[in-house]
Amino acid sequence: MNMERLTELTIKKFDGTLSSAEKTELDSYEANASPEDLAAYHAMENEHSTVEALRVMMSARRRKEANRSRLRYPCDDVTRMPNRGVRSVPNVRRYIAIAAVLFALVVGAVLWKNMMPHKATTVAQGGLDGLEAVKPIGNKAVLVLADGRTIALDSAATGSLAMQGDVRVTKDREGKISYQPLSNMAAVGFNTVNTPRGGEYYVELPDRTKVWLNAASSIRFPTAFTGADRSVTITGEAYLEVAKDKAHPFIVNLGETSVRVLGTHFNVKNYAEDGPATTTLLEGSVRVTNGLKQALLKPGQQASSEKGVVNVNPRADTSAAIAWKNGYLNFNKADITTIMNTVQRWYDVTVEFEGARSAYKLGGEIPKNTSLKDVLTMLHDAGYRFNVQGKTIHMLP
Amino acid sequence: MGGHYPEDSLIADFKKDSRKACNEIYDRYYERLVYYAYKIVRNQMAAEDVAIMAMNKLFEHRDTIESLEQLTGFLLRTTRNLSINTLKKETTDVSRDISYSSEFESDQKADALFLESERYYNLLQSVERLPAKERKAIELYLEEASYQEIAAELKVKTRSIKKINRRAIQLLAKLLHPSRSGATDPLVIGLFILLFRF
Repeated sequence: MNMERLTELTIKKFDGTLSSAEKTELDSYEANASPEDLAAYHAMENEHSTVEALRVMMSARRRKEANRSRLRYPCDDVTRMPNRGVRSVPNVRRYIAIAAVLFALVVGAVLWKNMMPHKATTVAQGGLDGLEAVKPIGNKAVLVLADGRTIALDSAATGSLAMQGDVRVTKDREGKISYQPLSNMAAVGFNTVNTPRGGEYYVELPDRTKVWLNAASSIRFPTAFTGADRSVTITGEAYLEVAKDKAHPFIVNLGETSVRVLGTHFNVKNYAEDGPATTTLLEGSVRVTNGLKQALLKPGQQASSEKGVVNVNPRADTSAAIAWKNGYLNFNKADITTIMNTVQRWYDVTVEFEGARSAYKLGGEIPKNTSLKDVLTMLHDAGYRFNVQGKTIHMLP
Repeated sequence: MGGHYPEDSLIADFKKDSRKACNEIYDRYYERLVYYAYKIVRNQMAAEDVAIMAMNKLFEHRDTIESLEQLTGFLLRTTRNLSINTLKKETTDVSRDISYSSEFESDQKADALFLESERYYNLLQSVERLPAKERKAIELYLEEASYQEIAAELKVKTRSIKKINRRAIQLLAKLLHPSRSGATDPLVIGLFILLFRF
């Protein structure tokens, strides 16, 4: 048996998906292999197992803080109000949070400083102290039903939230929202889930498509997909894992741009203030349309579309595009306008620019629950100057 | 992680509804529970869901917990049961034969699995304690980036990636304790082979 086949079978063995014929094949290999081959096989198994373990745990660790918000502490009552800013953070965690920020600083500062001219040292540092407590809100969203009624999803009790015709909307114990049709003749209405600035939420659509909504975003969808295709409308940013259904294409409408998929994982971003819509494909295939222009994306590609133009980047940084879903704010060659737009959305503050804006590009990645104060400190160290008044940040030239 | 919480008061505080104690428990067990669940359900998101559910169940049953061993046992049993239930509810096209989930119902397997989680968790901690460049190189490797890509991301020459990996392995070996027989932990050997293959 060659190494390729051996690896293939080992992976299946770990997954528990070996057919009985394959199991026999593997067993007989082990029984008849020479000691050297057997040693190599076990080493390969060991290696595979180690890589898998580290990947799983590292991946889990990236979502550790986001998952922490799903814990139901004994002292909470029914309305789990995420007043994160008021909670006093133990020393250890502050240290880790600051260490993470400093690490990003160290990695990014060299790049940043090389690109930034030295600014005057007079600093408008006042007002930063009050921002230590300003952190993103976390899981927070509003569900708007077909008849216009609204339900605050984060504070709603678990169980049945509403009946939409013959479709029941439920919230499970982990906060997940899902739709269950109770009959085949579901009368269709439209629901919308909105996230505020600083919020994010995860919803499962009636066809089991998974949607992660970023801050200041929304998704509008029917309570049951009964037509020839499955059509939703999204504003802001979302990451989708579309349930496979070859007979019914899934279409995401983003204003002028529409994205057509069959069964796939991709990220869409269309914030009005940022300009073009961005579609990043991780798995599967999608077709992006804007006006008369179309582009078919392969995994790893990213389309930027606006005003009848669709540009494709064949080697996009997909992990940067979905870093937000994994709990990081990621900037890749972003100018200060883009960065402050994201800061506004994520911390629910207002940013105003006075005078000329620097066109220098910055890059970096920080954990999403970094406090606003730490983010502004980083920018300050990178040479930016600003004035803070209440919830408004004035960027100085 | 978790070295700063006074051991003697953890259980007592936990039973008194201390949020700090709850967070400490979450911090300590989260990654291992996710891995444990992953070994059964074979899906990252499902494994994380199970870990959170198990944690919440523990919080609900804090009155029954008298010791750290009991706490650990509760978390493991709950994680195992929730994982097996998740498997049973699986509706994807993946076909696992029935013996797959029954394998995990044995207590012996459960203990072995937990020991495995512990060992890999220790390895993870060691990797996290490496200096930034070495750690980043390993992280990138795990994400299956090619050496060129890793070099580009770290902005160093490809040849020095091999040097960084070698340094990483040496440091790792120092950080991990050799077993009683004097041989290095097979997990470190696994990582050696991994990183040396290039």
